[in-house]
Amino acid sequence: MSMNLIRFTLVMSLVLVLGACSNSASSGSAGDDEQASDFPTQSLELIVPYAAGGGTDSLARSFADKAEENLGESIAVVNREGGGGAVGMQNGMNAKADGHTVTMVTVELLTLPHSGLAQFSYEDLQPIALLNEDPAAITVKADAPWDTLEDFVEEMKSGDKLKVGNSGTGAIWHLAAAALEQEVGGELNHVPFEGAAPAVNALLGGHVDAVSVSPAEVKSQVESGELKVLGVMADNRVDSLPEVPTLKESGIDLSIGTWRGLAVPADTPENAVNTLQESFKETAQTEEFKDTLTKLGIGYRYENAEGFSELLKEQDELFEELIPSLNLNQ
Amino acid sequence: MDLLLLGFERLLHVDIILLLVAGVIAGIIIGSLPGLTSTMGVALFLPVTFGMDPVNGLLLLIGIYFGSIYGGSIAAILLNTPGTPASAATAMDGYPMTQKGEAGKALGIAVIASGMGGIVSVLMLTFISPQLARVALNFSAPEMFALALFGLSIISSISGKSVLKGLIAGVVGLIIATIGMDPMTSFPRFTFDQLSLLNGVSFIPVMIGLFAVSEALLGLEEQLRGSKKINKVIASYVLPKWHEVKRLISSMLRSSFIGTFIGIIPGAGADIAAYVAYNETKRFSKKEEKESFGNGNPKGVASAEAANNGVTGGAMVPLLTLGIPGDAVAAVLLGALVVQGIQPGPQLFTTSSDLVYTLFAGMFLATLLMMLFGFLGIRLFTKILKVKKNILIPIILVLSVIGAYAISNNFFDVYVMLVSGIIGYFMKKHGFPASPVVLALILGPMAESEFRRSLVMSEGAYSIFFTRPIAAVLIILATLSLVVPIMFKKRKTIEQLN
Amino acid sequence: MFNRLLGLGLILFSGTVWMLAGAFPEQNTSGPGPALFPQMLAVLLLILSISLMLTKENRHSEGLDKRGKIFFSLGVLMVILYVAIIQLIGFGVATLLVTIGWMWLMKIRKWWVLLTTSTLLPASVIFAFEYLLRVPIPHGLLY
Repeated sequence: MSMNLIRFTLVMSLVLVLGACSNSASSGSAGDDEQASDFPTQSLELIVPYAAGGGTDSLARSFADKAEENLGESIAVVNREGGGGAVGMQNGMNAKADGHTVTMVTVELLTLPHSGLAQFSYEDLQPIALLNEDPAAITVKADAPWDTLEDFVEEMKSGDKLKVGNSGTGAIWHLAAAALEQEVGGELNHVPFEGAAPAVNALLGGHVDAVSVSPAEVKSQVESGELKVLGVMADNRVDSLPEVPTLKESGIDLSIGTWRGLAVPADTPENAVNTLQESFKETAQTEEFKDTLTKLGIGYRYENAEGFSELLKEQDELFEELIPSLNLNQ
Repeated sequence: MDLLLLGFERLLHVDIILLLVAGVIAGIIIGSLPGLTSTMGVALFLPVTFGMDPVNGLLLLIGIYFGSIYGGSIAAILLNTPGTPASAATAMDGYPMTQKGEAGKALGIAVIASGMGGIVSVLMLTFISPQLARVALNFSAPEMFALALFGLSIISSISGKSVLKGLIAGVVGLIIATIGMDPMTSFPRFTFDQLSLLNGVSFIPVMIGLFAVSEALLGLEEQLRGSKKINKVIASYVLPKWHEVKRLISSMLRSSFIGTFIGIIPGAGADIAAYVAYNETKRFSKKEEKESFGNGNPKGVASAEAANNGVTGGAMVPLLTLGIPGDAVAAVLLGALVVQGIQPGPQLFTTSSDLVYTLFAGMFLATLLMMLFGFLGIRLFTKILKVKKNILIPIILVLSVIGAYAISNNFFDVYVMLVSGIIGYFMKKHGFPASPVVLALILGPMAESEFRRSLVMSEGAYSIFFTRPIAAVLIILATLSLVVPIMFKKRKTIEQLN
Repeated sequence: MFNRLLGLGLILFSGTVWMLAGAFPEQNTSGPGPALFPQMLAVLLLILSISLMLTKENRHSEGLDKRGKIFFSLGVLMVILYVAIIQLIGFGVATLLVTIGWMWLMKIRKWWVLLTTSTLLPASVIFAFEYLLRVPIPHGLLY
């Protein structure tokens, strides 16, 4: 019996010793900061901060699929969900800054910190390429009494609180509707849902008066004639709905929406950043990739590292002002 | 009908059939592994279908979907380790059947019930989906709250021996469910600045911990005690007999309809359906039979399985007719459709009716294949029980760890699973049931957010819950099903005392 | 005794929940705020815990002897260690070690069983997850 105990202790101490060894080994390898003179030297990892199967995930997977050939290394897509995107993006910032870990970032990179839900800053990342942009839009039922954005705004100001569905308080579509409220001086009753699909469903059932989600998310119901889009919150009209005016055309200076792009940790060596930028640019500009986005119902917009940085800076200022003014309880 | 027959004709290609077969088999395997849910299975194979012909790609995914919902029940029945949340309800009677030496029978019933659920739901999808979708649209926040409450009321009837302990487990589960961003204001509740808690405690790691890891720890204890029970092989390959199946038909049919309907309602999925149907079957059965639920009543397995497979067709209803995904799997399938350039919605039935009916025919075939491989597999699956416990237990443990990790590639989930496992062990030791915790984690967030959403929509007026007929009826039913079992127990204990 | 202790613990827990939830901000739209549900549940738990404390104790299931208890704790410790070292040394090696450890605890002494199970298990899991399903597996320093 004691023999067993001794044997067991031996096994356990082996486990512990191995654990200790690997501990020292890990601190050793972290020390020698190998300069990524050739890049890439191994396969890449693309962190997606949302669940497999969602819009961000489909974008990442279809991009990775095409970028692999161009880069000559395989790209493994890893979904790290949690914290409304915060977990994955934080993970991407903390990754080894050698360019082999790329993160798909979304507008939540800016909105989460300003809502007090995450402690990181967009400056912890080096942007590589912007791939997508989708504006917010005001969509109502096809038989609703409002035919233009002006009608809708008038109703907003009349004192009747219209119920507007969004994909969650503090999420981008809620921010868009709240920004509209501020811009025109009306009042809305914001009804948060768990994502855009249930909000659209409530609109179809007549349980809310409007939704502020992207045109892509209401595309099929608009095409079937059940819903109509009154206006999009973008600088220019969107390709999928050319007949729908922008808010600017109605004299409301508001342009807000979601976007998705790729980034690496801030202190990634320059040559890796350059290689990635060149390679991703080529992939993003292929017709094949643009076609895939159209099929997915995702808006296409490419910007290189510089353009993406500017967008981040610009939007960060927007949200820095907007979010605290909404008094979201944070 | 002609369109459906044409659809079957279009399926008659070797490559399509092979894809369906591959999908169903892959689905059964994925479903049986803890941590790999139907949603993940379908999502993982989604990119593979990008390069395929629309029909082929979609049928592959449908095969995986249907297969994995059944696959989840295999591990639930044999090892008390539900492979997917949808089969947590199956474990309640399935595992006791295995302990009684009726593993083959339980699996056989699961296959038949799954097939029945699948066929009923596909039939309803094929013939009355536009009408059904309209009904589901009438479900607004108050109705959804009432449905969640109805589901939660089941806690008192799945509590096993002690209703009090079941209620405590359920309420603690509900409190855990409030961790994370508040559904209405996004305020982080009880997160203690942990990023991984912002989305709340994910219930799959909790489920794996409570069911599988606690089971492994109990197994270890058993081995250490050296009790006579070890290695008494309880594998049996006895299929259910016809007269046994006949008794289950009414339960299976009712559960299939419940499953289909819950599948149609957006936001409610297979996990909820299985519990609701289980409870309904219990409600409809005779007084003296009620006791045997939770102790290996075949009706429990049959109703849970019929319902969770019923959801498959149901979830496709709003997806195809309105372009709105009813649950997470349907959301991935929506992605698969649009990538192929198919825009679901009312016009789909007119513009691409051939595609739609080919899909329907494919679903029939997928269900039949699932039954075929389910039956063929029983002999193989039950072999697991022949593996000695002291080899099987470490395997369950390792699969639990990797399953919890695989859900979102976050080690935090593994710690959650481990803690749940240890808590689950002590719960089992002290007679606290685990099912109410899982049920509370599934339904708690839904109940709270729909309740508060209703009040946001009504601008604070509570009358919204009582002026809407469906909501009012469901709320009354929920209250009754929560209270009645408690009264029933009370009376019984009083009788016993006398 | 156990019911009383557990009841007491749960009462403390519900009190903590109530207090923490009390600090949650109000909702600026109409309707109850984030504190409603947790506080309601805290009250419910309080009532249930009190009833638990008043409930008669039922007998205990047979426990382990002293040696069994030590071994059982070792088993639990091993699992905790296992989870902790996966990130360090990787899933493959960590699994190999924990499988041997647990099987040893459960009185498997045949070296070939120990060896084949502990190598085949991580190998087949890694093959299925990583190569067939392309779900990444955590590989630390040692694989």
